[in-house]
Amino acid sequence: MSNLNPITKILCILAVNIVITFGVNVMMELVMLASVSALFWANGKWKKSIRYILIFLFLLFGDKCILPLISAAWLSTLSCLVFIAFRKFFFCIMAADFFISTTEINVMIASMEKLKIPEAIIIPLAVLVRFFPTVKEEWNHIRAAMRMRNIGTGVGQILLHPIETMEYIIVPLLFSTVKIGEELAAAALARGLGMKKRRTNLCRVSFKAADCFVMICSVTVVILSKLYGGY
Amino acid sequence: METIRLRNVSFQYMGENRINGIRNVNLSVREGECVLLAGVSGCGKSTILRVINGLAPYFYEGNITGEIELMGKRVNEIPFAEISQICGSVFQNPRSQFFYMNTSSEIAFGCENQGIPTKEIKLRVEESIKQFQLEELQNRNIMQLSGGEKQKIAFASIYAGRPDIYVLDEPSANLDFDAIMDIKRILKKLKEQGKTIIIAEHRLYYLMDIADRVCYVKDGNIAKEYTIDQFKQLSVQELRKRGLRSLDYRTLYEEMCANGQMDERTKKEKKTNSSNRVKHIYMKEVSCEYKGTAEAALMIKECILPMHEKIAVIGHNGAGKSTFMNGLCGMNKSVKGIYYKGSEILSEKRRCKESFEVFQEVNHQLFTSSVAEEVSLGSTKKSDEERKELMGMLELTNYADTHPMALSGGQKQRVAIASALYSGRRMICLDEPTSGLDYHQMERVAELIEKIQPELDLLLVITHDLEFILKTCSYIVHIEKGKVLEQYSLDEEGKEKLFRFFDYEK
Repeated sequence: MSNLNPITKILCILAVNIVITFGVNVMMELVMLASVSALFWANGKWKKSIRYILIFLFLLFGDKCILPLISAAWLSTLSCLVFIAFRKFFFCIMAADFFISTTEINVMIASMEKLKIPEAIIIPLAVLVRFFPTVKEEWNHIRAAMRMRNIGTGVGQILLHPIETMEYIIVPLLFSTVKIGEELAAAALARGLGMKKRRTNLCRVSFKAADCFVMICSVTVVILSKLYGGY
Repeated sequence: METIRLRNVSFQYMGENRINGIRNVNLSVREGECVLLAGVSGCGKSTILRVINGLAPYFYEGNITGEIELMGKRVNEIPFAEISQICGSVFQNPRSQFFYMNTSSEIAFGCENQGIPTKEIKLRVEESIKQFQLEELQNRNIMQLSGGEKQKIAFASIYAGRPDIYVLDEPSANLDFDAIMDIKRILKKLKEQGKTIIIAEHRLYYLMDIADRVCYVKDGNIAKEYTIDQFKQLSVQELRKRGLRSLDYRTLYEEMCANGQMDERTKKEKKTNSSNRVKHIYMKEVSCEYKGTAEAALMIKECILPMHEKIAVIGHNGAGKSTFMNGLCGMNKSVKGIYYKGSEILSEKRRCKESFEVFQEVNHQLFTSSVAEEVSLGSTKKSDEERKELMGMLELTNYADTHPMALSGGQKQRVAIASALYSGRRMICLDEPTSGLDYHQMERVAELIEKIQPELDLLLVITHDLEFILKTCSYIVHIEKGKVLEQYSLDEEGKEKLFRFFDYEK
């Protein structure tokens, strides 16, 4: 199951999003957690899946056990935001992370070309996916620099001055990624990306049994959530 | 046969970037020739290359006039995307010129774009790998490669596309000594195969037995053309007047022997320093091990760093120089060890608070919207006077309200250092502060080092720049394989040792 077709993965993301939009109960959330974790697991990313499971359990614990104890209005609003609202987005993030961390760009381009999706959609999407690791790399450097300057590191700082902290992160991140983006575009163009001729793609993609299995599962989860998952 | 011909070519960038254009450039390059474009930063070298590979005006918008011919064909008759079949380009930043994440796919990228049949691409990729000896880098994640390795992949990728002309824009700018030697081998191979090479560079020494001709570019124009033999005749002084780096470390050696000026300076400094009480940072049992790697990244029994010196940290690629520096600055939690300043123990927290690193990519450490704000950020001090004084010293007074990102690279460095000094940090480490700089810019960094040194206890510079070391540093720490191999004062004897390290032809 380790080499899923990117199209299958995109369908997974879609399924997760549909389920979330319909609204889910805790039972359904656990089913989704188990399915997406299984996908991570099958790709050898078990560390990541454990991390996600722990985060989810913490959020669930906060919702069921901490929230009822809080009486101050502002704090309960804030906690609701973290424990309930964020928990809904949590699955979208998890599914997207699965896609990005397990998909190679050439495989993605190949599978989309096979479906005859026009280049005008494929190339920007490929550039987008190409950009995530770069942003992550830049972010690591910037975080080191922030720690050195003693700014925006502790949780206290982030809670007390959220806007300032965001500014400190975003200014350097924006400038360095814009610069890299420009250089990347120049390099890709100079190497003939976007030529009128039909591109070759070394990568062969196909739909395998695993793809069918995951797709059927996705559809099943969507249907289940429609039937039993609602409030 | 002429492969490149520029006739009265002028290019003016659209928008704010008015200075860096070119005007009335005439250049003709024969097949198999290697032409080096030399000149200070912003002189228009890169623009000439962009005009040749078509990025100007296709990507960098602007007004172009004059005639450009590639392989006898006029450029405006070739669709832009097809220029890539004639001209292969390698750029200076290794981090931003690969598209895929896998090395082998990346080498095939250009061929895929050209629509070459799969079988043929596979053959070409294999050949590229063989030609440039990249067997060990096959099928690896590019993100995990060093800058030099990435740059080799970039060359292999261009090579697989079989262009006739190689357009190279400072391919060595971000590389260290060993990686530059690898690039040199690649260029030699290309030349043997009769490819035309046009290259813009600041580091000139590695091209002296590859280039056939040197064009000195000044203010957007080719001011003078030299044959390589004529160019080699230029004295160090003549080169420096033009803002160019030295051609050969041996000339620096001769220069050093000719005047003992440097030594007097170091001696003088020694004298003033002797009055200070605490003289050393003492490190004991410093080690760093990463999980999953057999060898420790750092393994130092003990090391004494003299204070009030200008210390250059040298060593080959991957020797542990950065880990050494990060550990000292309390920035790497994996580095364990005991650090003393006199008899005081410097905890990791304290080292982190009292030290400052200036990154090679200084953009990562500027956070605010004005220079004045930037200098006081992260400091509890609120003394306007002191800030003004500091900014005056670092020539930043006129830029107090400017956005740091609008400054030049050297000014950004100074802003970062100003913020460190303002928050009272007395240990400053710089990582490769002179990579990709011309002679004048390098000289200014050296001046900066001179200027801030009296304010500091410890000044450490990781560098591969011999010219820079000779100009300003007074002490050498040589690190290899995670250990301190040698450390010495840069006196007569020390310089002999230093030259032996930089003797790239040994």
